[in-house]
Amino acid sequence: MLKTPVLPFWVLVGFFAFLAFFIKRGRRVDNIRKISGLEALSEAVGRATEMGRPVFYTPGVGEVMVGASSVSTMAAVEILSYVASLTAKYEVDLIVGVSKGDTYAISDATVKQAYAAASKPDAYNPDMVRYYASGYLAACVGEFQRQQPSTILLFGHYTGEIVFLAEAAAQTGAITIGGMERFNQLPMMVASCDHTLVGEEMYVAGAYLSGNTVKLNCVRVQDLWKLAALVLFVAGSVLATFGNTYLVKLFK
Amino acid sequence: MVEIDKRWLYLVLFLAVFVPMLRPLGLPVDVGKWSSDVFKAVEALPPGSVVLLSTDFTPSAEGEVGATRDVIAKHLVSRGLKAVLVSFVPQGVRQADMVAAIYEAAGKRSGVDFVNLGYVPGGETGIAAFFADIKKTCPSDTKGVPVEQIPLLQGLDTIEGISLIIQFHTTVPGAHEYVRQLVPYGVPLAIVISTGAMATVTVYVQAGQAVGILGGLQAAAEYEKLTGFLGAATKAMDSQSMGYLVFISAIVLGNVFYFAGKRAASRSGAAGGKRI
Amino acid sequence: MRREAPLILSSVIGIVVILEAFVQVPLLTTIAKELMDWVVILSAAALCLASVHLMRTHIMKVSRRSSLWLYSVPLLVVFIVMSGAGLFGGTKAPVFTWLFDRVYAPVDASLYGMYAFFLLSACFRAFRAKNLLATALLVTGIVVMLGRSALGPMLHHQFPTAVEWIFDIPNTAANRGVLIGATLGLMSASFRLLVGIDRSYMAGE
Repeated sequence: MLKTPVLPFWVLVGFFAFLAFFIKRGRRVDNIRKISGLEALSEAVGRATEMGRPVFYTPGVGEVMVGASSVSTMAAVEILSYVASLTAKYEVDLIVGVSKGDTYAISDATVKQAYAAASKPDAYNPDMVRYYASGYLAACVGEFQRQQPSTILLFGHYTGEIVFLAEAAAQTGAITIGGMERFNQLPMMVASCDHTLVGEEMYVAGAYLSGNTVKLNCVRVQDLWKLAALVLFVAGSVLATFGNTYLVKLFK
Repeated sequence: MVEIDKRWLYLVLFLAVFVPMLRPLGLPVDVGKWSSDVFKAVEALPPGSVVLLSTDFTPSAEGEVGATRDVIAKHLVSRGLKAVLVSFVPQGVRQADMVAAIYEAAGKRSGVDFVNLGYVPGGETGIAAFFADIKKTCPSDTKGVPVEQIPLLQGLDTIEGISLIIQFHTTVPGAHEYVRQLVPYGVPLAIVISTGAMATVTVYVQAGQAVGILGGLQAAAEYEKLTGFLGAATKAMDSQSMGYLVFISAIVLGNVFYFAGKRAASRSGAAGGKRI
Repeated sequence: MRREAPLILSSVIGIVVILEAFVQVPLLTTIAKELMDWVVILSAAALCLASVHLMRTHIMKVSRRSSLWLYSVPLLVVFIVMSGAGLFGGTKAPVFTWLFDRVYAPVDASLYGMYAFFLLSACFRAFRAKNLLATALLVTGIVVMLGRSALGPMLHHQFPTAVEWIFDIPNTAANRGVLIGATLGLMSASFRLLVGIDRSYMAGE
C-alpha cells in the first residue's frame, strides 16, 4: 500500500502528530529567543515617524499560489500585516512594492485590514500597494531614490534582486531590515542590511510578532525535530566513521 | 574615512572587462571536477538516447548560462543524442528555440531528433504534472503539431523515458523543485546554474541527487575546452578574471580605508569624513 | 460558508496530494494527477489575470494623471504591441521574435549587467573585516573568486581544489543545516495551512 521508501511517510506523520498534539495541549510559550530583526521593526518604523519619511516594504518576488516560495511569501505578508499596523498607529506613509499579481491582491487586502484593525481605515490608500510586475527591480530602486524612505524592509523570496535592492537601500542611508529563507544571496543581505532574518526565522516571524500560542507551539515542535535531526547527524557520523552505515542506508 | 567617488570604481571595472575583449590575454582555463562530471554523464549516453533540456532562464541570465546552453546543444548534436526541450518560465521558450536552431543548423529534424514542447505554467506543480504525464501536460509542440504525431515522443509517457535531464536554474522553479519532484523517478539530473547560486546546489551533488553542476561562465569555458567547441565563454574568461581582480581589489581597498579611518578617528578622537 | 468552503477545499486537496506521494492507490493517483493539471491551467489563467491587472493599473494611472503617469504610457504601448504580435502572429512570428531578441532580451540583460556595479559598490562599502566571522567571510570570498577564475590556478595549482573543498565541506554542511531547518518550517507552515490555522491566502479573511 505504501510507496517505497516508507520512512519519509512516517516522518511526516510523526511530525504532524507532534504538531497536532502541541497545538491542542501545548502550554503557553514564554521563552522564545529574541530575533533582533523583528525586534528592530518597531524602532525602524518609529524612526520613519521622527524623520517624516515613508517606510518601504517589499515581500520579494515569490508567488503565493505556487511553489516553495509561496510559504516564504506568505510569511512576508504576515510581517507586512504587523508593519502596516505600526505605520497606521504612528501615522507614517507606507509604500509596498510587489512583483507578482497574486501577491499584490493579498498584500493589498492585508494592508487594508491592518489599517482597519488599527481604527485608521481612512488612512489606507490603494496607492500604498504598488504592482510593478517585471519592472519590479527598476521600480524599487527608483522608489528608493525618489521617495528616500527612512526604513526599507526586504522580506520574502529573492534571487539575484537582493544585490540591487540591498545595495541601493544602503546607499540611501535608510535603516534596512531583510529576511529570506534561501541561502544563495543571504551573505549579500547580511553584509548590506542592518538586521537580517536567516532561513527559518522568516517562518517563525508570524508567530513571533503575533505571540499566537498555536504558532509558537509549532515553533517548539520544529525545534524538537531539529534536535532529533542533530542527534541523528552525530550518531550517523560517528557510526559511519567506524564503518557502520546502517543509518545512512536507512535514510537513503 | 576616505571618500572615493564610486564612479571611478565603475570606470576601473568597465575598463578591466572591456579591454580584454579587444585584446585577449589568453589566460588558461583549468577544467574542474563538476564540469567533468556533467561531460562524462553526457559522453556515457549511447547515441539515440533522449535528453531533456529544461531552459528555465530569462534573458537576464544570458551572460551566465547562455554560452553553456550553446555548447551543451552542440555536444548533444555531436553525440547523436535527441533533445526534448521544455521550459517552466515563459521567457525560457525562446531559449529553447535557440537550442532548436543549433539542432536545425546541424541538419536535424524537428519531431524526430528534437522537439520543443514550449512553456508549462504552474511552477513546481507544473513540473510534477509534466513528469507524471508528458503528453497530457503538453498536448502539442510549439509548432502546433499534436504530440501523438511526434515520433520522438512515441513511448515517452513519463520522465522515466528520459536518459538525462539538464536543467538551467537561474530562477524559480529551478533545481530545488526538480530534485524534489524527481525523487520517485530516479532520472539523472545535471544542473546548469549561475555562479552566485552554485553554493545552494552542491549539496545535491554530494547526496547523489545530481550528477554534476555547470556553474556560470567558468563552467561554460571548461565545457567548451572539454568538448572542443571553443566559443563565447572561452573568449569572455579573460574579462571575467580581470573583473574578479577588480572586485578583490575593491574589498582590500575598502578594508584598508576602513582601518585607516578607524586609526585616524581613534587618534583624533572624532569620526571624520562621510561613508560611501 | 464563505469562509469555511475555501478552508475545506484547500485542506482536502492538500491531504489528497500529500497522500498520493506516499500511498499506492490508483484512485488517489488519478485524482492527484487531475488536480495537478488543474493547477497548470489555473496558473496560466493567473498569468492572464496579472496582465489584465497590470494594464488596468496603468490605464487608470494615465487617465487620472497620477504621479509619474508619463512612464505608464510607453509601458502600455510596448505591452499592446508585444501582446498583439504574439497573439496574432504567434511566438514564432518574425515580429515577436524580433521584439523579444532585439528589445526585451537586451533590456533585461542590461538591467542585470548593473549587478556587477552594485556588487562592486558593496565590495568596497560593505565587506569589512569588523570581526573574526566577517574576516572569514572575506577571505573565503576572495579564495573562491580566485579559484573560479583563471587567476587562482596561475597563483597556485591548488586553488581549484581549495574552492571545491570550500563548496563540498563547510558550504554543504551549512547549507544542509539551513535546508533542514527551512524544510521543517515549511512543513509546519503547510500543516497550519492544511488545518486552517493560517489563512493568509484568503486575502485578509
